[in-house]
Amino acid sequence: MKKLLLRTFAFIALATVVMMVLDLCLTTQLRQRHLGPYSCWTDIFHSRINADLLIMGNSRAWAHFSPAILDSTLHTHSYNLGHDGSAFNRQYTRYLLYRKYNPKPRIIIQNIDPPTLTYTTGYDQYQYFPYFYNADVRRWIVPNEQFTLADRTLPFYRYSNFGFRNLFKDISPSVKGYCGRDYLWDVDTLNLDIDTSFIADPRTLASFEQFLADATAEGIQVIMVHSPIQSYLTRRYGDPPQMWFIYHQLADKYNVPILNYLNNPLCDSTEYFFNIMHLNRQGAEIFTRQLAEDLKPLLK
Amino acid sequence: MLFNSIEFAIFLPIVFLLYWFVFNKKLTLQNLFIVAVSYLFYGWWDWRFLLLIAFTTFCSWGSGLLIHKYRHAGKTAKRISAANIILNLGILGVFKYYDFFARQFADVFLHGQADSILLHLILPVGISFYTFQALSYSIDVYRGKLEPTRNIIQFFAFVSFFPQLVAGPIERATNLLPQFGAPRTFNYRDAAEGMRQILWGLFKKIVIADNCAIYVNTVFPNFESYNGSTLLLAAILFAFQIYGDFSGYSDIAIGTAKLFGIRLMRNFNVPYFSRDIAEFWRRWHISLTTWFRDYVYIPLGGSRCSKAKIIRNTFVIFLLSGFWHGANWTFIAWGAYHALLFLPLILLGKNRRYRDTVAEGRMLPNIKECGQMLLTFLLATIGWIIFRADNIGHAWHYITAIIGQNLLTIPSHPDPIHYMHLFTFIFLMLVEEWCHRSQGCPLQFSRIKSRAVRFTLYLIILVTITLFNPGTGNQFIYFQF
Repeated sequence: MKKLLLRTFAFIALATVVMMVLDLCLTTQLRQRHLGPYSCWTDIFHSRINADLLIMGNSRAWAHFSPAILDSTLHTHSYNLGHDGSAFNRQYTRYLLYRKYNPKPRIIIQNIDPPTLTYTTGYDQYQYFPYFYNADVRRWIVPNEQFTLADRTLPFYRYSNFGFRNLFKDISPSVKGYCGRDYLWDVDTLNLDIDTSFIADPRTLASFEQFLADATAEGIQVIMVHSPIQSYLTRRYGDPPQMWFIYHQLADKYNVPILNYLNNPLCDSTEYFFNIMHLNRQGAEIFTRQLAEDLKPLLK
Repeated sequence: MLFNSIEFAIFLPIVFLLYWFVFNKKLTLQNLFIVAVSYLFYGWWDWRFLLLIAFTTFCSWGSGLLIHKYRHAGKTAKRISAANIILNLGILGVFKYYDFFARQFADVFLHGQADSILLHLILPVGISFYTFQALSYSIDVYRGKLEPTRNIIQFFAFVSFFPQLVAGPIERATNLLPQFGAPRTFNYRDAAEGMRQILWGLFKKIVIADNCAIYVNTVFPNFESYNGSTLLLAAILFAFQIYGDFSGYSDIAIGTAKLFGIRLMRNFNVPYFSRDIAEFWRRWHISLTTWFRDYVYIPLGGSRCSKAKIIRNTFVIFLLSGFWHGANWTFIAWGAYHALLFLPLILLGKNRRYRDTVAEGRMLPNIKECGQMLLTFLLATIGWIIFRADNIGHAWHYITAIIGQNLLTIPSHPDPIHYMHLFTFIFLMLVEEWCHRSQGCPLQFSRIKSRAVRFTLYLIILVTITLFNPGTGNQFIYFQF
């Protein structure tokens, strides 16, 4: 028995060392390469952003707002913090981490839509893996993202548990956080049974209001933008009165302008979308140019 | 609790240490501990079904004692045995087959309006396995092959022993029950062999089966969109998926049992190296095949009767074996398909040709053996298409689409590098199993004298499992049976 226990212990110890080395190698690689969702976290934690115009929102912000176009038109230094699959609760955490490692921006463009005020957790958690042992990530993100005890404690386990090959499933290179997609329209998304019964979550709502209050207090100009959605989906979820009421109420309270692109001619095309929620690169660049022009008179 | 889960990785060492260091003083205590942890293991899925397994176990134990008591009292013992069989199969039937038969009834008599008569019961995990195991005990007692046990704890340990509780091997009371009656002493060799077998089982499940599942689960439901070569490839990968999944489970179960000083029967014996279908069935899911042989085929007359009866008996066991897998016509068709493949071998008296190991004493098979193995594998793969399909129509269209939709083209695959890795691992698995085809246990590196090299090899397997875990957390296929 002693022999078995000793050898098993030796094997486990050796395996742990190997896993730690693998963990270190992969983590370092993911931090160094400017790939997909990892790059934004790398820019945040290495204080590389320092933007005066910050774009916030979910995957639609990520894919719709090109900082390069905004910079050339508005003569700003902008960065896209768009956070895939995230309601504002996650966007806010990312913003707070941004603020901890980078100076405050002058302007924030907050992309809004009905899903933004819901609550999301446990989506594509792999993006946090390279910074999993960062103290702020451990305190602010890990407890809210449905990681198991083994994910939190065993070296390399989180990568394996998520599926090693899935780590690289969406690693389109991003430029200043923006990830334009060259995909063609996917007609199948029309048949998807998308849940359109969005209900504002009180926790998210509280974060959103806190965000607006803090920004106002700090003199940061916030502009809410409802970027285009393919008109098929707009027809389906109509105009959720609760959400719009909340956005308009908050906009009035904090004196924030809202730019609404739901009726923009882009929305009727399928040429500029790759699915009902997301513009492709061509659509995104047309939209950003229009937005830049519309922003000019609003910027203080 | 899945074998490939972190819960099990914590559960197993704790149970192992308590078993050998705390509960080793007294056999009864050790058996009681086995029962307790087995019920914990089973209850991890759904504690409500613990009562069902306890009830089944108690009835089989009681019937064994009664059968023995009334063995000289005319037909009483027979009636008790029959009652126990009816009870066990009745429970299995209600949970597993009621809705199936209700749907068939509704199709014929209620114009397909089955909703009002369906029960929608949840299928208790492993019910087919432990029911058959419990049944074998009472039948063996009735036949006088086995003395019934008066020790209820031993019997509960026999039925619920956690490594093989939910997906076999379906153990015989004659093999397993006496092991719970004898004191167990720790054996380093067995335990080390068990750990190697667990490692190999995890490799087959996670690296082979779960990765094959990604391709298979994409292609099978949308087969109309793929060309013939892709469909054929998906079918071949399903053959490896189901083998990796089920034999992987069996390896982990057998390996785990060895850690507790218990020897379970071998459930798979390199079936894809079979030279004909008869040999395949001597090597695939051995515990179920021999169960049907001993408790159905031989009582029906086996092969010591007229040709017509042998054919009937063969069809009976294959159809039953198919139906055992699930309440779907595809399983019955799968059974019938294998019975048809068996038929020519029986009629020509060639069904016992290959009882040895292929290429025994040689490094490589000859061309004839290669051809035979390839043909048997392809025939088995066609069977797996029927097995995997949602219904008979799906299976038929899938098979015809293989031939009809550009078979001679390059298969489509969204991630070629991933599949290159997968094929490499399938090849390595086949090489390993070929090298150890005459031995009962995988990863026997006894020829490698250096412990460091052996350690490194085990470590490489572990790292491979870690890196190629697709992260889908797949259940074992046979849990649904």
